[in-house]
Amino acid sequence: MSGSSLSPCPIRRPAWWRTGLAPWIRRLTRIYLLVTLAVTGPAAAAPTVRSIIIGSRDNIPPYAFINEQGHPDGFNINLLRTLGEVMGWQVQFRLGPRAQMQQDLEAGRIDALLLLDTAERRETFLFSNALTLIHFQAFARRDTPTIQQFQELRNREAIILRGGFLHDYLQRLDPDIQLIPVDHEADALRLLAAGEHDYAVVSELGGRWAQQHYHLSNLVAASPPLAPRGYALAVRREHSELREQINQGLAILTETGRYDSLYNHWLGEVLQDPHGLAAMLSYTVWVLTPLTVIAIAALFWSWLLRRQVAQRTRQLQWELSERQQAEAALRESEARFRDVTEAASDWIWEMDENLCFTYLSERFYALTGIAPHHVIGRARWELSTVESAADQQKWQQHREMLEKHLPFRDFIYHTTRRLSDRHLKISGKPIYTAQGKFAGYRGTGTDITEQVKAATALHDSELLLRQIIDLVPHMIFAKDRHGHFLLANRATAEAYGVTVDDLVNRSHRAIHLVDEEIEQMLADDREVIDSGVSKLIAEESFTDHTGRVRIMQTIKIPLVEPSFNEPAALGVSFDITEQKHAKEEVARMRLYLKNIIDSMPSILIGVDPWGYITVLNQPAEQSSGVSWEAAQGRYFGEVFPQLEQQFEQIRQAIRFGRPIKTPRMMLEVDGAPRYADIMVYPLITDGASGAVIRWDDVTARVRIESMMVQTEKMLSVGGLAAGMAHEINNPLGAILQGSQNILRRISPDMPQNRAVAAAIGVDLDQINRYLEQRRILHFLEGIREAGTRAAKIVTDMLSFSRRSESQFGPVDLEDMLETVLRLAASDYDLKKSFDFKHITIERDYDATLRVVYCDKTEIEQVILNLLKNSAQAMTEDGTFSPTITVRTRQEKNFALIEVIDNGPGMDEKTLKRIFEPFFTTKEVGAGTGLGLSVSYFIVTEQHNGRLSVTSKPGQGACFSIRLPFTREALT
Amino acid sequence: MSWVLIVDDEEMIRENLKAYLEDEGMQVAAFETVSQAMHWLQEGGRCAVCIMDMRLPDMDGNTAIRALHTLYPDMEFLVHTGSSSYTLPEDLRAIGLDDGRVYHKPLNDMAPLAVAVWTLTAQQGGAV
Repeated sequence: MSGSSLSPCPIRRPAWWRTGLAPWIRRLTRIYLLVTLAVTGPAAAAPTVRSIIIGSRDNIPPYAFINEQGHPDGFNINLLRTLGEVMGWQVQFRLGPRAQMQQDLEAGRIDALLLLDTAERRETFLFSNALTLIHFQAFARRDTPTIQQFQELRNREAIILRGGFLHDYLQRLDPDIQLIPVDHEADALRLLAAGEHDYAVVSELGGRWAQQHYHLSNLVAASPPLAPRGYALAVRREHSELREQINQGLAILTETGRYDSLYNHWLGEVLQDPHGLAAMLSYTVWVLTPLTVIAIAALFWSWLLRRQVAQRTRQLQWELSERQQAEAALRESEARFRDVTEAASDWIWEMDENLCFTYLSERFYALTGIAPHHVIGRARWELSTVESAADQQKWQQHREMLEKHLPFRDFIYHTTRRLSDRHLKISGKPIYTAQGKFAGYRGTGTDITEQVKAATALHDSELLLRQIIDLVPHMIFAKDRHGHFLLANRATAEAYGVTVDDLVNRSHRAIHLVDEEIEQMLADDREVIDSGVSKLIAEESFTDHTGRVRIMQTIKIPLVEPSFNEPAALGVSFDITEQKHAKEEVARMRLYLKNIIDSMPSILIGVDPWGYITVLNQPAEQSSGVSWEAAQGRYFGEVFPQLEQQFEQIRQAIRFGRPIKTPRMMLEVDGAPRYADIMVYPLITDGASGAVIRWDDVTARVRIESMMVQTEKMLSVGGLAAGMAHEINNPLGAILQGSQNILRRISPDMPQNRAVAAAIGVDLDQINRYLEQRRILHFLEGIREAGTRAAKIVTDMLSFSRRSESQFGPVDLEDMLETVLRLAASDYDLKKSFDFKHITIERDYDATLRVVYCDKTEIEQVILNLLKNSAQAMTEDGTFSPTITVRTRQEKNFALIEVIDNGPGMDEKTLKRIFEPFFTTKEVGAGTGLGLSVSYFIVTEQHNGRLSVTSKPGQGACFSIRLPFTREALT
Repeated sequence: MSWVLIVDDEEMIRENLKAYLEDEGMQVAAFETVSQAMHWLQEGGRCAVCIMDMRLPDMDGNTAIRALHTLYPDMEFLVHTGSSSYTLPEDLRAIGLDDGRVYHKPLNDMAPLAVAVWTLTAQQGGAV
């Protein structure tokens, strides 16, 4: 393998130099060594067997290294071994790192050290003559720019041998060179070859050796050989005699040709190029000096010739320089092209005049996975994937363009080959031969699959987002500060009666109908944009394109979106019209229900499961005297002590989920007994339970019902009486008429009696005296009275039947009352038991009330009954200053007649039964027990009026007759 | 002397009325049934006033009054009934009866009835 093929001219050196001069230089070097040896003289020529320890680095092949057998080996090592043989020394090697070796040398543990000869080290050590001259050279991968001097390594990464000369040298040269120290020169190159770092700076031969040895074909020398240094043996300063001996030995080796043979053996292969020009010249100068004398002799002879040569040389040098520059430029251009081609993701393609591929750079194959033989010689359209008519048309156009030899840019197509599915973008221009003939196309291609995929994905995701926001029934939009729509969803567009596309970029002002709404909305937008703080507009009116006003709730948030040029307000509007209406409806309904429950006559008390009040209706408020607000949260038993015992019912109602009724519960309200139906309804709503207590005061109904029972009784009595009246009246007639006749016929006043008595010789007067003495007349009177009472009972009983209206008529109330009062004063029964005249009668007539419509006889009877009842009660009680007040009043629908006494009054028990037939508090025989019940019947049943009584023991009694004014009420 | 005709199926009522009116100086013919009374009249019995019970074994009192009035248009009638719900039929009102001529049993006092009989007899101008 030739060096030039490995390293394409990284070192600029004239060809003539390269071809023949190297062996000469080597020879001259040898001569130089001999001369110097001769000058210095063999100081210790006598071979004395002595042991000498030489230290060396072990990591600098081909100079010094550990070979495969584990022994020190290399040019230096073998040279010194040979030196030892020549000098009769027993040479031992000690290999190790330089720093340690240096210490060993200083400490005397070794005698000499193979070391680069530098000015600095000379201060410490003595150096022998150089064993060989070393240059340093930068190596790099092919794509790395070459350098001319080490200063150019600045800011680059350079791999170097740890602790070597260069380490210090480069560090001192420029601290900005990034040094990567390694332990072995070969490592430096291998690391570099592996793609690490930028350069490896190693000894020229070491580098080449490693290159060859490890076949690092991707590396090239990236600089000329630089910084030459002599490799020599350092000895301690006091060992100058050793140095002299070494020098002597070296001279012998050179003279004997052993140096050359070792050199060729170790370095010849490696060294394709001679050492650097400067070094050579310096050697040459040295060598030429002794020859100068000879040269002077020839000098004149050759003067003319030399002038010609010089002239020619200058010319050559100039040409050379020109060529060098051109070559360098070309190489640079080539390198750049290669680098670009290799590094780029794009590829280069060429087509011939038939538009068939002639060339495609590697990248194309790597990317598409298409083998070259599938492509070369074929047209591009034969390789493409045509999926649609549009594709077909595209290709057609492309083909036409190419056939017209037009340049094109950014033609995008799609190829599906094997597993790869790629989108490719190509550009090309026609190429022409020097003669101007069309020679095909050349161009680049790039893989835009990822971009296409990303764009597709982006498009898809935008599409999805679009779909989503269009699906949302709420209005979503973005507007800039000036009220232009930047974004709008379908709901927004529909509200304005346009399409989304129409709406976007339009001004809000141009599309919205109501100015006040626009100004408010735009003001909100600006506020959000300026403050950068989102805003909730709880309620705003929005008039849509149909003119319908919607109530919206809107959230606006500031939006900075790169695709919008300026900050915007993003809004989401919810139509809350329905909700609002629903809310209003709920409020209205609530009020409505409250009104309903308030309008109910029942007392309604809502309680929670623990009996705490949640709701009261108006009757409940009135009844308890506590407002709903005040009662809320209080225990119901506290507000309604009468109901406290209902708690168990509440509990049960809630527990069993059904209403529990307590009918006809006796309650005391304001000290008066009342009847109530108590109903406890469980309330089972989700989440909350409780109960409603419904309290219906049924006192009136209970009374009416009991009276109806009475009425029924009376009617049955009436029916019974009607049926038997005839049968009873006849015997009663016989009794009464019979007793009347008896009394008449025993009376001495009657002439017929006396005549009969005289005829039969009886003295009527005597008989009468007898009858009186034997109380026979009294008994007869008793029979008469009993018959009369029985007849009265039958008459009263007969009253318990409905009468026809025939006896009804307009009656002057005052006249009627006066008649009754007169009648009462002369009433036989009344007169008998007490004197009605002792009772004070007070009249309290309503002057506006004159005519009532009634059955006069019946009502007279009723009033008489009431007067009698009062009078009897007061007489029995012995009431002081008994007074009866007869009062009339005009009520809305009734004429009210009241009979009020200041008698003993009645207890509750009596009041309850007072209108019951045959109920009487009087002693047996004092009354029929039918008076009040007949009165009640007459008023309520026959007149559709009302008869009621209020009384308390010791506080008199008040009977109230209410007769309806309207005729309808009667039927 | 005025004759008073009494038709009543209740014997003691009949007897008592007869006794009372006779004590008042009247001539009284009393029968249990209408047919007996008719028979007496056909036999030549004469009376100015008839006291008629309503519920009779052979005939309803109203019918009897109509029949007697047809035969004896001058005869005056008084109704003496045990039924409390008795009302005068319109045709009887048309021949001069009114509520004042209706007497309900039991009569506690027979004097008003006797007065009525006297009054009616007097209107007819004394004896028949």
